[in-house]
Amino acid sequence: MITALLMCVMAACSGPVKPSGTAGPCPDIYPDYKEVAVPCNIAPLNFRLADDISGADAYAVTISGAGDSRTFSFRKNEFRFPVKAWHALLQESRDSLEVSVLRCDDGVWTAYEPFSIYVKKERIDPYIAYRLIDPGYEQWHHMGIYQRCLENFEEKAVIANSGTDKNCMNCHSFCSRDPERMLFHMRGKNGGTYLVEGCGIEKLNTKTDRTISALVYPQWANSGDFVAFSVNDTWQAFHSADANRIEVFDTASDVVVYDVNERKLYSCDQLMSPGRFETSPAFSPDGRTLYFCSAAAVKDLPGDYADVKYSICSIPFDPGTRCFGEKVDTLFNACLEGRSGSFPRISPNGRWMLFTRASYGYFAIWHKDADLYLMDLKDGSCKALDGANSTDVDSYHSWSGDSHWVAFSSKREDMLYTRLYFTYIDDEGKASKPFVLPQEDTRFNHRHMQSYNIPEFISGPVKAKASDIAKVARHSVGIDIIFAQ
Amino acid sequence: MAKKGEKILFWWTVFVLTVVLQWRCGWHFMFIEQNQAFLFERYYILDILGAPGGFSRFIADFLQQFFCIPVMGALISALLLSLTALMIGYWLEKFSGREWMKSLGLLAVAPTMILLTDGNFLYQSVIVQFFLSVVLVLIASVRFVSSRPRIMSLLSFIAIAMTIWAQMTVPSEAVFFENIDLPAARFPFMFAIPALGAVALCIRILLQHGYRCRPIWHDVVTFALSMMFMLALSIPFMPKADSYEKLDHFVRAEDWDGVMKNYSQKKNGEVLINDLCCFNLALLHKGELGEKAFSVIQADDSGLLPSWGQNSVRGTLLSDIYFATGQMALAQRMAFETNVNSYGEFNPRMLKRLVQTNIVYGTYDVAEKYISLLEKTIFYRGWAKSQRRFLHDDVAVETDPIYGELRRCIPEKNFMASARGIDKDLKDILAVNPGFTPAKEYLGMLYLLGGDYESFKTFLEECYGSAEGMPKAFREAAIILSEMYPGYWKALGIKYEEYKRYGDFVNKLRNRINIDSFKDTFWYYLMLKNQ
Repeated sequence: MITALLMCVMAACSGPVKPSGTAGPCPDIYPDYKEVAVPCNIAPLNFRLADDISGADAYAVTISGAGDSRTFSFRKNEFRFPVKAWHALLQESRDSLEVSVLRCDDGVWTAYEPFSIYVKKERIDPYIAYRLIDPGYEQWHHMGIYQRCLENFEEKAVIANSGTDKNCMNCHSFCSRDPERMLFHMRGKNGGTYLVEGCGIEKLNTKTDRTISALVYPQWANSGDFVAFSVNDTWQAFHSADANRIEVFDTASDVVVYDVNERKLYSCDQLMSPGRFETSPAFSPDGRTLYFCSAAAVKDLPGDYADVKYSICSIPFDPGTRCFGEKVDTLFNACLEGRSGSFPRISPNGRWMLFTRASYGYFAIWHKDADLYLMDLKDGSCKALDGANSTDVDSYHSWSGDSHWVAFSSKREDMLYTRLYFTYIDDEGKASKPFVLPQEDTRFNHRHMQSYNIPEFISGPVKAKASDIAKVARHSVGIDIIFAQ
Repeated sequence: MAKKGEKILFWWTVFVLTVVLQWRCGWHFMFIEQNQAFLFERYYILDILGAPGGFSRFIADFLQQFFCIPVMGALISALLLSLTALMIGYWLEKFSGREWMKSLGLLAVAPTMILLTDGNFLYQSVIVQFFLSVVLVLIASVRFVSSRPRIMSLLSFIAIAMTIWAQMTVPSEAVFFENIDLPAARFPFMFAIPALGAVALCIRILLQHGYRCRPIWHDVVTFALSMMFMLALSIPFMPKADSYEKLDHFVRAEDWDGVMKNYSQKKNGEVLINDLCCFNLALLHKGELGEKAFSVIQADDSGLLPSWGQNSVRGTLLSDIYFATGQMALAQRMAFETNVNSYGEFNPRMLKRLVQTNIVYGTYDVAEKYISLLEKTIFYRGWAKSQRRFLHDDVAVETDPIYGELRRCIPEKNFMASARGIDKDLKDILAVNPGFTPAKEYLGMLYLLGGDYESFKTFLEECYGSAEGMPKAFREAAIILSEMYPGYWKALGIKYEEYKRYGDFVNKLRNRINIDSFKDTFWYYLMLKNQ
């Protein structure tokens, strides 16, 4: 009898979806895609209703663009949209989609109040590369650099440590978001910097007698001829009674520029000052200015960790002569601001500098007060990216090729595991409400126990084979680079 | 032989193997259960199945979750090994065309029996061997194949070679050993192959010339001989489970009396640091560290604070020690390190610790994440559900006898844990929670075992002030301090009888007579620790 009753109800809900009334305001949805701005080529924004909103016999979601609307039916309160149909809706929409969630109880359909998703005509770079890692202390198990297509849900390993003796790999960087030109480091066994250019893979031994460590934080110049790196003597310590768990700090650091063709390092006194820590460099789009962070050195570390505050500076660089200018400009002054700036990233159009601001230090991914700030390089004005920032960590960021879309890391969801968010920066430098990297399974972020680390946009998939890179890692002794006199 | 007889022999094999495995690796099975958490979740299962060697790992992980039940590890393994032996025996029979060969299947599992005791051996291998034997049976069951020895040899060779190739060429998911470079990993195979041949030859000679009996007894004798050889080949090479694995079981169960009862020192006086740590941890939990620490031979302070060395066993121990002494940041760190370093995706024991430390810190969203993972397991579900009541409820946490006490240990002023030395951290904990006995006794013992008597004196004055409530070992140490600071024992209010007893000890020590009655004193430890 119960089965018969259930079948009657199911049959009642399987007909055309015609709401006969309102179910009230739309409940919370996860991920929160209400009123977000998305690029016109983004993967379906699958979502579900809050767990306590369930129990209906059936659900439906009606998505309306400028033209037709489409209704998708679901048995449960999790809504997954077909990729093709979703992209058709995005293409048809003028500037927004109206999303209406409907529920069927006892054969009667009612609709929650609709919400909007704003569709921007600017396309986002179709791929993003990131490292997946346990947000841990010293140990790791599975780790790898992955690439994800932003237009669907396909994720593939660029290289995972399962093929390289479970070693550590980090700091992937692409030349002008070109998937054919990439570098990253491996640590421990098979240690070295790996330069991938098309199908060619080069292993570099990057510790020289003039530098304090092997190369660390990279940033390519758009020309592809140079990569700016920091060299760091990095340590970590563990807070005993602080909202931040871990403190990562340098006891020494410098900035160098690596000439890809000559396999030589260049630097200058201003970038290797003994009384200062210089780190996280970035080139301007024309490659003629090098941005970097610089802080007065502190001796008692980790004791005085909170006294290390980084300014963001710039120095001219001449790619022809490999010479640096004499004058260092300070764009973000840590002394005046009383805060620390890190990881300056210049938009491809050269207009904006996006950086992370926190109370101290540069390893902001462990700083709950870390927020994104945007500086207009035309007039030097600087403001918090309020539309995108949260009360938890908002840090490592990357620009899409059109200088409008930004990917960044945030721990806003559970305070520990970093997730990727995307925001749209308009011509005035205002950020839209960010949205989290869409996943096919809406519970993915809850169950996934790794952090997304260093999101870097790429214009297509990396084609170099992981097995080829692993082969070079295992068998190549590496090429020693030198420090230019 | 009649089918009934075969069944009896099979179940007899299961019984014998269960007894042997429980005897040699009963504690080991329970210990390795914590190396992975099997989650009843679609995506978790699909992830495992999608990886190289995923199916065997899936089965292995599924089965290993039951190892937390006593004897279950031995029983499951005995069943698998017996079935493997049965199937390999069937294949040998078909392969050779001689019925007597079927009992030799038992010999094929002898190396596996030995390997099961190895800490680096992956249980997945047992499953792989089982599946290989299934494939061999299938090969032998096809009449077209079994009637053509060359084809059967070729197919069998391919199946065996492919299994070995798959195991050796997927280093990340190494099916036999986590660390394939270990010499112990290779040794049993090296000796097992010639041994198998030699034993087969012996049985063959015995059968042909050694005895005459009725056909039914023929099989029984062959079986008995094979079983005997198998046990003789394996048992001598199966070391009994590490004593630490036994103690670890009681630590996990928080059965502190069990830890103390099962702790034993080596007869040659050598101290096993991990075991000693378990013993000291039990004393800490019972509030008896200062009273009874010297009832056993103590090492230096490594018996309280062992070095980590990025080792999972030490990581677990350290997490337990830090948690017991209120050092939440380090307890959490070690839990995290050990969890990510576990062979499987998660270490359920360390996930529990991560839940606990996050509840103490009030980072409930993170705690909830780990709770929801544990809720997907069979054996940790109940515990995980019971922790939900603490989420976002500070009152519940603060009034809980364990969590409340530990939350009161969070220092008022932040510092970098262990960067200034553990003793300073403990002092900061005691500054906010002066009544927290585990931290107090642990700090005092750290000073004593580390030989830092000046700091110990300051500690005594700051944390005790007088002999009242002072544990025995600390009073004994204070009496020793009186040699440098005359009258110190009196100032602390230590009884004259106790002071006089020290005098007796010194006299007896001088004459080397009857000092065994002082074995449980700090004095004995101090004077004779290097002898």
